[in-house]
Amino acid sequence: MSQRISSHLWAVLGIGVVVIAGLGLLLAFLGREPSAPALTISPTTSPPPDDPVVASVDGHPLRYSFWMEAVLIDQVMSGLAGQPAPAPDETLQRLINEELVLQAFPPEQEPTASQIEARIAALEQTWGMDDAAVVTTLVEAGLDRAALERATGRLLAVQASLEALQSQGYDTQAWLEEQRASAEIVLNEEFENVAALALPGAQSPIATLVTSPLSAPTIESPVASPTPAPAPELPTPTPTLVLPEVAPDFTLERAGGGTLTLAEQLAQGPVVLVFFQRCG
Amino acid sequence: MELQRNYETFQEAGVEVIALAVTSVASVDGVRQSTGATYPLLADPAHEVATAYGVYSLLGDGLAAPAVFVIETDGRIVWSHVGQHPGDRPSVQAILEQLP
Repeated sequence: MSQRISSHLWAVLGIGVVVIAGLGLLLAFLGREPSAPALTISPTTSPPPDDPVVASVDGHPLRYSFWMEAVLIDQVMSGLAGQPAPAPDETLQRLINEELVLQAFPPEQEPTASQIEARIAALEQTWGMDDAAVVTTLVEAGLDRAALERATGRLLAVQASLEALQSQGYDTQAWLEEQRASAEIVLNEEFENVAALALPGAQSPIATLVTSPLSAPTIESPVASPTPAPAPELPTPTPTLVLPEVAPDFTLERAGGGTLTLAEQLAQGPVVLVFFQRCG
Repeated sequence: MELQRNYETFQEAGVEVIALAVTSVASVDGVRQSTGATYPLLADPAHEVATAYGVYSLLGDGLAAPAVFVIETDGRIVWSHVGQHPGDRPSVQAILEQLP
């Protein structure tokens, strides 16, 4: 089975404790039972109008909007830490594991606003960014500060639940494995498609803090297809991308007035061209 | 990818950053105002450029897939990253390492 280590995510979230980081790692990819097919969910960018349930954990629904927001938060936070981001599938697995933990060890109280703010401040210090810059990054990804606050609140709640679990003498990995086997986890097949990321070869579920060397599909020739690692459970690879070898010239209108022609810009130096989706 | 924050780094490397999206000029005007971006923000409402670069609606959404191309002065594309899902972007560091 293919798995991907995302211990970096929990490190990004400012949990300095090695054990907690390891637990976060477990939460991120535990659940890939050897016999179960790899989940090939990928969120679309046009959210279904009725916000369907993507998965349910012992009857508790995880809705599309919740999952999408978590995916985008994961992307942003990984980017801020200069780390590769988890695939949407992995984010969903983490959300499922978090639900199991939260249901079994509900925190005694909700995180307070000041606790959330303190954690956000700590994160921003880790990233070396001020709040305005972080908000800009969130907006560029189609999110807002409230989304970060929600994610941070959930993180604090999950952390408290994990501490309760450990304080009662449980081994988190063993506990999670048992829960995944016995809990009623239902996945909405409507969201299965073949647009999953290629993942590296199978890795042990035992927690490590080594980040996967997986890089994004880097294309250096005009016609290339991202080749997935050999793993029988993987879905079919993503379609072959046909990219130009020579940058097509263009002239487009620019924000703030006027136009820009690529060829004229190239006369002054190399260009990094960035296609983005959301407009704030 | 926090473009504005790292724009100076790109400029110091002698590289221009150009961002574009399949949207209207009014939209990118709004983005420019809300993000305070000082790099060029372009509108590709007829998705001609996104199509020419092979990234139009790859995610089935009528938008350009999140993608980055590093282009040399002679017009050659020397590196690219095409996102497989929204938010799938290379880090700024990864891009800087690819600069000519």
